[in-house]
Amino acid sequence: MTSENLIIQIRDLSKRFGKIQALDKINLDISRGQIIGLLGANGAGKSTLLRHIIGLYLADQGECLTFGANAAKLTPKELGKIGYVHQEGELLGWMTVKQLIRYVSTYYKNWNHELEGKYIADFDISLKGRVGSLSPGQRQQLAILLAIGFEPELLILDEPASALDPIARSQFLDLLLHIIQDEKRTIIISSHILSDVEKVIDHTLIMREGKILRDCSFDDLREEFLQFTLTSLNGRLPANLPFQNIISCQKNDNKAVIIVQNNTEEKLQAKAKSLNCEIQIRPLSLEEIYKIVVNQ
Amino acid sequence: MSILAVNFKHLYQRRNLWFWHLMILCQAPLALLPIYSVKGERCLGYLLISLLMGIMASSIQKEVLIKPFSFCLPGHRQIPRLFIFWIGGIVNLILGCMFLAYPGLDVPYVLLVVFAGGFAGMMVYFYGVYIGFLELLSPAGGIFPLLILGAILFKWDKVLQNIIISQPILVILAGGTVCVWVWRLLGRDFLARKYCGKLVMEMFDNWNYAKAEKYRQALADRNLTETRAKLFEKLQGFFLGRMGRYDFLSRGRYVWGNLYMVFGKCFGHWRMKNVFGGFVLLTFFLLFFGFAGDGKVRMINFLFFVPVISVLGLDMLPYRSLLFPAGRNEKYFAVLILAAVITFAVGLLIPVLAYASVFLETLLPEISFEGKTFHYYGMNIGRFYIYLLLMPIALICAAVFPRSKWFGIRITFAIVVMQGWMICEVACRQTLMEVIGPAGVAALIVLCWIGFLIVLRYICMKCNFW
Repeated sequence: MTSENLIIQIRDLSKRFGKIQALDKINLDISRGQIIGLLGANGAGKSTLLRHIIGLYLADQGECLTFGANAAKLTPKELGKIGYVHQEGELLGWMTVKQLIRYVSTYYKNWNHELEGKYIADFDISLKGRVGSLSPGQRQQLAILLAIGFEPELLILDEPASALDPIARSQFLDLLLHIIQDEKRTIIISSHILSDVEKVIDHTLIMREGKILRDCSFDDLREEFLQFTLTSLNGRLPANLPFQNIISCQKNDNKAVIIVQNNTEEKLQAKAKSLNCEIQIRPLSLEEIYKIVVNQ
Repeated sequence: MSILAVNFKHLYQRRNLWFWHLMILCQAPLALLPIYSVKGERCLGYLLISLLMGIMASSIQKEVLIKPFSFCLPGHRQIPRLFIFWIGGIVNLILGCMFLAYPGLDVPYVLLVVFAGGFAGMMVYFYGVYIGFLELLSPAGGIFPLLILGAILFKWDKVLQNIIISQPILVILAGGTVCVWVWRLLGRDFLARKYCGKLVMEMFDNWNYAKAEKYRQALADRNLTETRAKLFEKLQGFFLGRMGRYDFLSRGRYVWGNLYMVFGKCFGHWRMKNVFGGFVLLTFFLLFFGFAGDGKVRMINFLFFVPVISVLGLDMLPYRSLLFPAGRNEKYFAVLILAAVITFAVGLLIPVLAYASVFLETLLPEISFEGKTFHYYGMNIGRFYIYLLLMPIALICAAVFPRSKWFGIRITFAIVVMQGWMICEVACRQTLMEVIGPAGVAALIVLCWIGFLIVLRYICMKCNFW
């Protein structure tokens, strides 16, 4: 990975709020074109990390470089390339939707009016209503539109779908799939709705208590954890199953459902054969993997 | 624990009420002083406490009724009545004891007078309840200052006091009748139905910035007529036009954008009623304070504070969570420009008020009342330095405590500074200019503004943006 390709570099980043260590010596590199799922429980430090990247928060220790510049001193040049949807972001409630879109678009040279029109039509956003009178879901849709309207190089979505209903969530996902077609765009999504996230991400960051537990590609993570069902073809299963790195095992006389780490399908199949068992292997969902990683 | 007992917990659990308690406590000298200073000749100062308690009790209940769950809670709809009568009964019975200090009343008779005083207090208390159950700025609320003014100027409280002392049974009967009527009135379901789930502003909600914003928004939405919508479009057109004169991602574009965010918001929530209300209030201040004080200490100079107080409601770095292409330097610069524009724009109000008061000074005659002569004094424009001195302090306050949770602190700041200044002036009978001289005042003004620059720079460059 060349350093020109890196758009975010974080070194030993720490942040404390009173007694709470929100970030604890975070080291992270994010390169252009990555679509990252930032996962973690409430209070894990996800939003704090994202706010450091865009310079809203200042680090106690360490440094955070965004587009090569110190995040605390970002200039309009760098900030003009970043789109951000805030978790509980206030919009300018006293404006009408039309006025707000016009106002925000005035800041950007490359505002995509075509995308804006498409998005407004898809989401059925009323332009005449006041922003402050919109429902939380509609407000979030509007916030997403404002963040993507100028086609930013770096798009940061902090819980973008939390207030959306199922239909709006699915539309948002379609939109996201459309946005990620631009291979140069980097997207960081922090979300609790993992079933949605796993459809778009290619890289995962899992956080707990201000630390990064995992920083790897989603494919690697999926290969790392496997679940298989083992069925004995000749009666009972042996008391001790000869698999390595078992994370969980639910077993009865002739059947076992096992989750293992760091095994390959070939190895598992070979061992199942030696035990005279039938094996059915399936990859775990992101939600299942997340639970395992966080509880480890 | 009974529902009523839980309701009583509001009295000490809600922080916003502590301020209200403090305000009521401040009235205690008013209630007690007359007894000792003029030998019980005026005992009804406590009615002000009754009134404030009435407003407080009903405001608490109104807030409870607004919560939808309270409508469904079994037996809760009768709680407002019990709550209001419990508080009113206890408070006014205690306050009625002020008549024990009245000279020349025999022991059995004085008990009747005490009860009569309590029932008189109940009637005023119910008036407070009435104000509390109405929304703020209602006409009934407006009578409140007039009543105080009437008590001061026309001494109607003394008339009422004489009735209580000479005809206690009549007062008890009248008070009892009012109590029965209010008891039956509050026993109906209409209050619960009227307020359930409704967005209304409460006495204590002025401290709740988020709710106040929501309320203002709802009012503004109700008034979004075609004409207003067009007006806002034009306003936006003006600011966006100015933004367009600067390059993309330039500082100038953000400065105009920030000005639009701040001033547009003021216009966005603009209501004719508020403008009219503000005008009436300023006229009242001009007339009332013009007659207060004397040639040396002019209370009308209080009007120098009015523009400063208006600044305390501003959020100078609004919508921090919206990511605009503006770094910390741009934000600092934009707020500086904003502060300058606000200081100039709001400061324009002072000459207008000053010249209006000077005009009134030439126009209004002296008023003689019960041997006292009241002369109207206009504002002393030479004391404009008060504005220049307080403005940076108010701006610092607005910058340091920017968000909703600090709204109460801003208000407290306004009250403390304003009262402090006025007390100093009345007590010392010397102006700041006389004490430290023009050079001292100029140096102080410069220091205050430098302080503002330093604080603002620190906030913009060294603090987290929430």
